[in-house]
Amino acid sequence: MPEVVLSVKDLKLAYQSRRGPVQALRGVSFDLYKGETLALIGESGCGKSTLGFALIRLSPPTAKITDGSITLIDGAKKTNLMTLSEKEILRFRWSEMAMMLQAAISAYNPVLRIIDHFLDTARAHGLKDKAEVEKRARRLLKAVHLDADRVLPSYPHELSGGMRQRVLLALGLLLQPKVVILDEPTTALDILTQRAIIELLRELKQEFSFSLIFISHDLSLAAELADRVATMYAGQLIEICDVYEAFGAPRHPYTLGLTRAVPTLHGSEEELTSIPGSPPDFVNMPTGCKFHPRCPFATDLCREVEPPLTDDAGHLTACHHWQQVMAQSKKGE
Amino acid sequence: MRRVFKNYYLIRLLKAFLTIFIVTTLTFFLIRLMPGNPLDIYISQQVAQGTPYQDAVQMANSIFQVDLNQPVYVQYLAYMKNLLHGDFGVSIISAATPVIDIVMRFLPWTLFVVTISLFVSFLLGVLFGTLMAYKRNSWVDHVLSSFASIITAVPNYVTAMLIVVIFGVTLNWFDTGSIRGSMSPGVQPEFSLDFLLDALYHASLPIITYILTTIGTWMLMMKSNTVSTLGEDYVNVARARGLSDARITTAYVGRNAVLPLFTTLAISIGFVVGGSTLIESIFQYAGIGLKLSAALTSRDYPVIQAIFIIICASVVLANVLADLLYSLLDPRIRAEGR
Amino acid sequence: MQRLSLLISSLRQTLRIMARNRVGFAGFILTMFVVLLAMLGPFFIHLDMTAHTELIYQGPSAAHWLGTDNQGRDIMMQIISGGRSVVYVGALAAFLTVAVGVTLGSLAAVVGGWVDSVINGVAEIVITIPKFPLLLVLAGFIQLDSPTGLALILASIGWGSLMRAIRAQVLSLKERDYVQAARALGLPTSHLLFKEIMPNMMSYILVQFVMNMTDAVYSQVGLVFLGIVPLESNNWGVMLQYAWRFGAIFSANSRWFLFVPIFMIVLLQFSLVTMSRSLDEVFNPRLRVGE
Repeated sequence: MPEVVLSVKDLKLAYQSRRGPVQALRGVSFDLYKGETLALIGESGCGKSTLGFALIRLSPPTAKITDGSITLIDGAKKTNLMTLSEKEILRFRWSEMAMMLQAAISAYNPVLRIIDHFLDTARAHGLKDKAEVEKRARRLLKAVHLDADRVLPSYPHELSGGMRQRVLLALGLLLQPKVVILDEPTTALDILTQRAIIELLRELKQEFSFSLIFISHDLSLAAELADRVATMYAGQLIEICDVYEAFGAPRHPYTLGLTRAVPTLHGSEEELTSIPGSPPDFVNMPTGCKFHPRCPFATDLCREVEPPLTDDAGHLTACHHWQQVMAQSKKGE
Repeated sequence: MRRVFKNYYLIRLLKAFLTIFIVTTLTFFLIRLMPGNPLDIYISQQVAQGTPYQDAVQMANSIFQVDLNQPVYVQYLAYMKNLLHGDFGVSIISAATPVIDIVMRFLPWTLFVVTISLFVSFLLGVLFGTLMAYKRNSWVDHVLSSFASIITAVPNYVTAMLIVVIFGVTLNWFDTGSIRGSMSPGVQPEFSLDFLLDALYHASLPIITYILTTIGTWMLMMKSNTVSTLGEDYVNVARARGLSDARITTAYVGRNAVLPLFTTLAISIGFVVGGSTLIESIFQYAGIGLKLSAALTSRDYPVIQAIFIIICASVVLANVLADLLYSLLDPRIRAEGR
Repeated sequence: MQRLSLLISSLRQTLRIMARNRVGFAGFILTMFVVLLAMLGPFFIHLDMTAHTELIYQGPSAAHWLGTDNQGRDIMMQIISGGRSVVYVGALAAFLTVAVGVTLGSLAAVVGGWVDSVINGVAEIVITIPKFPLLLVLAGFIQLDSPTGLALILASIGWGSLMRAIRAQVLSLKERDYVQAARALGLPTSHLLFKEIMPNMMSYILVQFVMNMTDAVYSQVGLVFLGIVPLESNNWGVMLQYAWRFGAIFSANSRWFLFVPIFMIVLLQFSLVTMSRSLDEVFNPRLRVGE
């Protein structure tokens, strides 16, 4: 049984919007195993970025985590992040769990040099030896294929977008976190740079061995990098499974719809389907299963009862009719 | 990269000198060539009193330190040459006193007050602005914002007058008689603490007035800049990196939010120095503003001319300094070079 | 004629938007009140400027609602009649400044080349030289005894930043699609300027007019207060000067002579500034404090 490094149980988050309270996360639970890459997939507005921020407790001041736990497991030591004080959380961020937001372009303070960013981060976690920090920074920059002599004394505006993305990755690994969370790491990059970053992420994972969660709407990225795929819909995880099964034999209608909506290079002609309708309004959620208005498999049961996330040999699905869906998806192969 | 760096400063300095050059030429033009200029008036007054024309010209020559018999461009060159040597001529009113001496007696007082005021006003404005941004929409913010809005709308001479009337005469917080002037009678300028305290006592009202008239702008600007900087991605990333609030407020938010204020600093310098005539008149503070006002009333043209040139030169140079400071703080400007 | 109606309709639109913002509208109403009082007041009262030494520095009474000045003359009458030149010079100077700034700015942007460089260069100088000392010096060398002359001098100094802003706006608007389209259709430059570009800048120009009027009031009162510019003695600025010079600050009754003109001047400036700030807010959405 692989080791669990991060365990999230029943995480609930709500914030006040102009139109009323919004339950952005409605009881999210998953485990992250050591050394794996978990892809968090979903449409925009489903809550995946919110989840990312919530994991490091960096939600905006209007948002509140109302329930649940986030537990980091290091051997025998278990730490529930929800019990930590503000000051303790600062220590945890970046050193145990590093979350890198999208738009690496604007992730830097324009008036500080790159080396200062490294020093700042190190100093915030008690590492004051400048020489040591610079040594580590150089090693990391080399790992991301950048020339440290050129990059370290530069200001952010002197580097290209691709370079800034790489530097952010290097910066993220400075304190050797156990969990790295990337929010849309390849959006806003051109296709060549995307490819380079994907390769780089593979290399870095091998060299520095961390567990990776990356948040994206890009399925092809998941197919390339992920070991497991978690699909999110309306503030909840509705399917978590092995990547091959996610694409080959998904068990939730939503995942089925997502994977079938992507054109492939296969020889045979495949019917492209898109999911009808649009994501639910968080203020006026449908009853029962939140996906039922758009679901071809929906029955009365779906309209009344929200399906729990059920585990079948490591493949978790939140659907009443998952066997039906599985059969259907296998047929389409 | 170094070459571009130097280039930018060179251009700024050249522009500054060009401006000063044009100002001096403009003043020359005003004195000599404009219709109804003081020289012509003086000569015609003398002639009306019965002085022969040539004699009147001679008298004008000696008083205004010119040679009207020479062609204009020669006069101009002589004028410029004198200026470069710091020779501004001789005062008409204070018999035979070199103007440069007069100016040097009054200039330090104005510089003293202006520098302190701008420095304190800027600092306080930035601090309050940051506070207002962090506590936006709270009562602290509302009170300070209203204060800032109102105080920028009140003209500086009104503020000055109100200070004298309300705090001086009515509430008697200070003695309006003794606080006039730049020093107490009988005190000699020297490098001692007593002298410094005395100077500060006399300078306090003008300083307070300047601060009140400029702080509002800084507060409001800093607040709005800080609010928008707080929404920047790199601030969020800094939090995700586990940086302390203190570090984020100073190096990430503060340093970036304050940058645009430096461009306004140049305008403020011009405004404060420009308003010194009014403020110094109200407080009877012996700086060049007051001297300019006196010179205008007594038509002491060499003094007027000299003070005007000095005022313009100081403002231009102060602008260059403000620009320099800005480019030192914002690396993106340095790279542009322009 | 069409141009005029276009101007009027954009003015009307501006007023409509302003009415939505209550604070700004209050400022507008207040400004109108002061302006009307100043301009029309003199027609309705009889000003008696003879000295009555027995009535020096009296506080408010039934006969003299706002008290008397250092020569026993009624203050309220002076206030009503003394605003005219203040408002006139302020408005005229603002109008001229805006006219010069808009003309030069458009010219520089549309014509470009060396004309642009020259205008820019001159503007740079004009902006750098501190305005008030320059005014003082000009007032010292040129005889300034008419309000119109004063307005002209004020306008000749204040056009710099407006010109730059107009130039920048015209330059950016020049590249916009609808202007390019008009040009492709072969329409002349003047048409472009007046029909396509100007209406867009109307709001900015109005705000600048109001701000310039505030500056002009400040400058002229300053000049008058220092005694540099001799104007008729019931002008608000002159009242200020007399009040200060003749010790009005020292007793409660005499202070009316100081405070009343201050109040009027500040009221005018304050309402102008409030009006312009809300105009600014309306046209610059970033300043709006939440919907």
